[in-house]
Amino acid sequence: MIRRYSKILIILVIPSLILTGCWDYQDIDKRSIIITVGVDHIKGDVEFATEVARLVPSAGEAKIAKQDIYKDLSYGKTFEFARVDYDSRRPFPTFLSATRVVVFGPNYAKEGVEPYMNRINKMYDYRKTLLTVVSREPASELIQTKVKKSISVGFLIEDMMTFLSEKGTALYPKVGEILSDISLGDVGYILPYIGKSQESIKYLGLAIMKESKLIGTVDVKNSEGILYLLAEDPVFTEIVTLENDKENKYSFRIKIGDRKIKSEYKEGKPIINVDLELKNQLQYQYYVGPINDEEKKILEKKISKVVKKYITDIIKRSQEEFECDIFSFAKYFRADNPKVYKKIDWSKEYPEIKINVNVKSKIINMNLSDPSAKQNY
Amino acid sequence: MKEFKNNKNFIRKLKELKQKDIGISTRRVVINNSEIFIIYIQQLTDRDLISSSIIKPLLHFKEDRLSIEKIVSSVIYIDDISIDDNENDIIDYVLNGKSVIIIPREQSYIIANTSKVEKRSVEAPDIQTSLKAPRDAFTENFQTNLSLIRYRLKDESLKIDNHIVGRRTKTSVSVLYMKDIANEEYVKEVKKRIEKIDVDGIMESGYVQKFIVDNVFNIFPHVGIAERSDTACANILKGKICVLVEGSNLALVMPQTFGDFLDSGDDHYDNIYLAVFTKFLRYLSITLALILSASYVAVVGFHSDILPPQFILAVATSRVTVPVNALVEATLMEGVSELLREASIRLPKQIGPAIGIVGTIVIGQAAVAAGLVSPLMVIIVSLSTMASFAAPDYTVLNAVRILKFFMIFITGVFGLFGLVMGYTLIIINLVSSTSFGVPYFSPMAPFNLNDFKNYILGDINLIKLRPKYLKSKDKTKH
Repeated sequence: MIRRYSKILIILVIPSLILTGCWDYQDIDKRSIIITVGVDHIKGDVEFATEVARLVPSAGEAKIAKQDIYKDLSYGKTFEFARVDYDSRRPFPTFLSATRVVVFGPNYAKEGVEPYMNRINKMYDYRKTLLTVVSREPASELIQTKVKKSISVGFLIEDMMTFLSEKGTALYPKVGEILSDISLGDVGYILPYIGKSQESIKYLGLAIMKESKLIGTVDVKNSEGILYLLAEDPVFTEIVTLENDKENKYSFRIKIGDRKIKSEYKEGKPIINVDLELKNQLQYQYYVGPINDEEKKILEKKISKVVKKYITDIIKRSQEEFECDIFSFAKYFRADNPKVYKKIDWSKEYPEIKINVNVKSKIINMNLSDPSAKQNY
Repeated sequence: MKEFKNNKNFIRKLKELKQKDIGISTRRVVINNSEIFIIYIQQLTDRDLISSSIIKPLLHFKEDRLSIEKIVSSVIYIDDISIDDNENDIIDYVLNGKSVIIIPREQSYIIANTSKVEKRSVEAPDIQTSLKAPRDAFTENFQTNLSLIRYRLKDESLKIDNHIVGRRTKTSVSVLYMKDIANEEYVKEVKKRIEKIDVDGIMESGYVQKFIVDNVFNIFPHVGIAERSDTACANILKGKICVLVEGSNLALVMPQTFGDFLDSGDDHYDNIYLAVFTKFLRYLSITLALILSASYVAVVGFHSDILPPQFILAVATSRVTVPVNALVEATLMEGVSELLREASIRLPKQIGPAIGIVGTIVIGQAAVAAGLVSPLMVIIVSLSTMASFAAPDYTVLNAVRILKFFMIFITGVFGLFGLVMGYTLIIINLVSSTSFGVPYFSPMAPFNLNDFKNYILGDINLIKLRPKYLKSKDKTKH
């Protein structure tokens, strides 16, 4: 029987021996589960600020073990030395698969986060869907914050960013996506920007990264233009008025129906055409009144205008202030004109290129308000 | 040509038998000055029947001449009666519960079937219970079992081939099949294997099963059991062969595939959606029983990163106080669970459930409270134990009980790769073995779409063909 199955046994046993084995065995409760990692540069040293799960056994009536967190700092000239310092204080081997967020301190973000991004990429136990953020305060200060809203800073940041990105008011860039932007070289990218506020953590806006270095931030109030272009399935709320009745405001819920970005190369210059189709739903009016078809069209145009302004303003800022293609237009241009893309230096060309924004908006739902009511009845 | 026998031989034989102390009783009757001996064993015969149907008519007989033929044709009332002249066979007849009537001057003797075996009545099944199924289970009485089958299958092509197996027990073993449905080759093979059995005694159908299987060392059962007569009949109609063994309340069914063990009789006439759902559930439960504890070892010990981040912490905190590693923990808990199961099977019915509950709750709770095992492990062991009760035929799950430990060990050594490797080896074993020539994993491997569809749907109204893998003569059902 063994002879009959010998080939199969060899095929199964050899890869198993090579790929894994009892030498890899380590129970999960005998590992230091890292929840949050903060990376910063302090006085020339790399600083790792970490939140580690302290696994506390149950006490008294509660039979379920309680989760707790402890925080500590380690330093070194390089990541490797900082890790040695880190490991020398650890009861168990480090386990990074449960890490929820990596926070880059302002100093480190300004110097460039690419090395740590590459470290995340190549270290097998880091998840590539990890969230990375830039903090306003030094990473250690942020991580040392005693938050009341959650058991740890990492949990709070991740939950907050998940909720905001699902709502369409923030971006949730994963490490994998950022690494793809870094490898393209010509484009910048955007990370969430957070800070401390009243013994808690607050989402401040977006951090603009050029060549993986922090070059500026966009406040949460001004980030709508970016979200219209980059958010996955954003939902916005816009308020518009009619000329003849400035008091009555119309609150619209806006969704993106179609987002097309096309590029062309004319007269030696790249041209980017952004076409947005918006689907608007009237939520309510401040003062209830009939809306006729004409007014409906005016409202549609107004919404288009407002959204177009958001987008053109931020594009202008990216060309003039940041001088960096944070919207990854390069990817569209490279796909449409691969030969031209090879010849030109996109990062140099970007501030000069023409970007046309065309926003079409349609009201698809009046929330039971009948625009033709007056005519019909 | 009959051999001439001396009249005195029967009497001499009778005296010999009396000396053997096997409990033979003799009743001497004198009619018209001629002696008649009735020989029987009290414990095996119906004495009322002997008195009323043999002795009474004999004593009332007034004619002069009394011959063997005359007694058979005109005197005694027994229905099953025959004449023999071999004095050496007398002992066999008497031991089989028959009464032998000897007239000293005659050259032959009468055998009257007056046998009576103590038997229990037909009762509800104990091990193959079902909600919507007939409850007439087989008993230990061979004739009752045959009658239950005959009652359901009123077809002239139902063949019952009798064999006597066991040198000392001389147990009747019947091979039942539909002559115009069952494949001749399989029938021949079964008969051949039964005829080859050479053992002193057969006490149970399990004895026969052990002697006729393809490979004694195969971990999965290759012969099905039928406790209910409807299950046996349904299998015979399908084209399978049923073996009834005297003194056993479990019929054997063959060839039996892996899928048949997970097929309950009422699947075929229950709600079609429910039938498909429960079949899926049974496969899921067999998989769970097999790999749940092993997966726990793989996840806790090797590949915690495959869990969602939130769950990693939950698993880790649940294990903080556990002093042993996941492999020992899983082996220990599964061992305890098996111990409880084994103990509760052997215990008397009245205290069995109590011990089961006490054992489960007390040991489970106490082990968690004492920090010996994690709460998650208790859930896993309970779930895998529960899952291992979901198959209609428990014999297939005995294999899973053993393989569960194999999976835990192989995973403890090789991690997730070990789990996959162990599972693959089990699948290889399943797909490469046969039951009386029928691929064991039919209709999945070798795959037959029609058979597979019929197997999954199971609805009697939709299944128009008999399974192809059984190679039956009559291929259509309706």
